[in-house]
Amino acid sequence: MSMSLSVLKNKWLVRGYVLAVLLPVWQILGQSVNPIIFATPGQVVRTFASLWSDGTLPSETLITLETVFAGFLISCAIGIPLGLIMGRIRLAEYAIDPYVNFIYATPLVAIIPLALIWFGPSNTATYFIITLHTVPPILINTMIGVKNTERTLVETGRAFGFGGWKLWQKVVLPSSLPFVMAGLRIGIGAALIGTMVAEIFLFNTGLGYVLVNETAQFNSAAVIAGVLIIMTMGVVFAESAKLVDRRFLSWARGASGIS
Amino acid sequence: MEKVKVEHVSKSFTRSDGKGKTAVLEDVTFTVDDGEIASIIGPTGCGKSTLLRIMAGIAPPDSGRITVGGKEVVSSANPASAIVFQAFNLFPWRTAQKNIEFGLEAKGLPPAEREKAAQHFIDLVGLKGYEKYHPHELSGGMQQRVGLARALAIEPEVILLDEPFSSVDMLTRESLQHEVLQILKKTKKTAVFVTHNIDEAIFLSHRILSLGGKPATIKEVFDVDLPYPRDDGVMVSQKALTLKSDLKRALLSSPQAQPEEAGAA
Ligand SMILES: Nc1ncnc2c1ncn2[C@@H]1O[C@H](COP(=O)(O)OP(=O)(O)OP(=O)(O)O)[C@@H](O)[C@H]1O
Ligand SMILES: [Mg+2]
Repeated sequence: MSMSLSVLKNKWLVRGYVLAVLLPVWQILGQSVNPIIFATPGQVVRTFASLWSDGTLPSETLITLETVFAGFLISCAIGIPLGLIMGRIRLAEYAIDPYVNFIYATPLVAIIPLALIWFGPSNTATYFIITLHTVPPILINTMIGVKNTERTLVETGRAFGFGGWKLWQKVVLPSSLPFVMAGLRIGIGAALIGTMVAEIFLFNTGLGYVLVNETAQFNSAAVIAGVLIIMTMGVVFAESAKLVDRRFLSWARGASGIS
Repeated sequence: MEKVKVEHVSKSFTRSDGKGKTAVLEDVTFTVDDGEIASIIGPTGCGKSTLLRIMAGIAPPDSGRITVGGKEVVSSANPASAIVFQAFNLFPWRTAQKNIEFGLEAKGLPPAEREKAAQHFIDLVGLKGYEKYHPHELSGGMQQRVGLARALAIEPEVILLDEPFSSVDMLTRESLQHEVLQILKKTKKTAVFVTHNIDEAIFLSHRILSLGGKPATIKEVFDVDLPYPRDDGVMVSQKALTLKSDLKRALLSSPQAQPEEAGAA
């Protein structure tokens, strides 16, 4: 206990030191460069405070968050059932799998022109872009989870009297859960990327709008403030996913030997 | 009265290289009476687990048929029998208690009754205090006991046990053998044990079937004409010792299964 605590302390100590070096370096760099291009930490904090108190940042952050979550939920609603079906039915896997891989391998910005032609700058186009990027990791992981269900456990479920949908509910689904969770973890990050791409290049709303708008006014402190919020979102998503894992999937870490 | 009938069961597996088949079981025929405890012994790899899985309805035989209580076992759920697996096959996401409740869920028991029944069998196999542990937090012997309790909990007419005591130390093994034997006798269950251990087979069974050959068949059947309980006195009686050497001979005459050489005749 004391051992792990001191290591933890050390870890945060190290991070503190690094930050203590980085901030002054940033300050010095910021002062020496043209303020149109770069800003000091102090300027960023002041700009952040004023944009926050005048309501710009809270409302735009909320819009971005809503878009990320709505896009993520839509992608789950498509990706999880489709992944389950593809894991179960070989024919569905063969039919759909190549297209999913094609889509996932395509750089997202390359789709922007098509989205514009088809839907114009709109919410529809935004969600089109997000789901295109978020469905594949969720779908692929779910499918792999189903396919990785141990045959012996399915047999055991059957031997003890379960069949059909019940067998799925009692054996296949819980067994695939760690994979589905991995898919969701990647998926929430993908939804954030998709949202930013769409907000910046397609339909200027939310934090993407803040970035584009402030860039046009050469307000680099505001741009950095916006980027910091987006970064924080990414970190919070990743950490919450880890927390959910630790809370509900401890059996999987123990069983797989990876901790 | 016959409880379990195994008639002319044959089974072969396609080799993983796809070239030909390996015959594992051929024309296996035997019966187990109601309330009888039978053991199957045989060298490793001869097909004991395969036979048990077929009897449980998990794997279909290539030919032949199995009936339990007069009803044919088809390749699906067979709630009349329960199986204890050699490799435990516990569900890693379930606690010990939830694993034991698994079969009761399939039977549609309400949660309160499931818990009560599970607790009873937890006490019986000596897992008190470990109810909330997941399989990866349990020792091999404890996992084996969870598997045992899971099978006993559904109170099957027939229980099939694949080396159920192989992962526990000698002392635990003896006390578990006692416990299980008592349960079986008290509830007049029909049981089929698979074991490598001759002493264990003698201690437990009314009848011992020796499985051997390649592909394997029932080579010999030994009646264990000894009174229960088979305490140390009974186990060293002349009858028991003669039986033991007969069983040893039967095991030795059936050489261990070797992987077939590619291109062998
Ligand atoms: N699913 C399978 N696919 C292919 N071959 C199999 C399969 N299951 C078993 N076998 C083969 O069948 C033979 C018998 O296996 P089985 O597990 O029944 O042996 P066993 O008598 O239980 O051995 P042990 O005493 O070591 O547990 C082995 O040669 C094994 O390689
Ligand atoms: Mg075996």
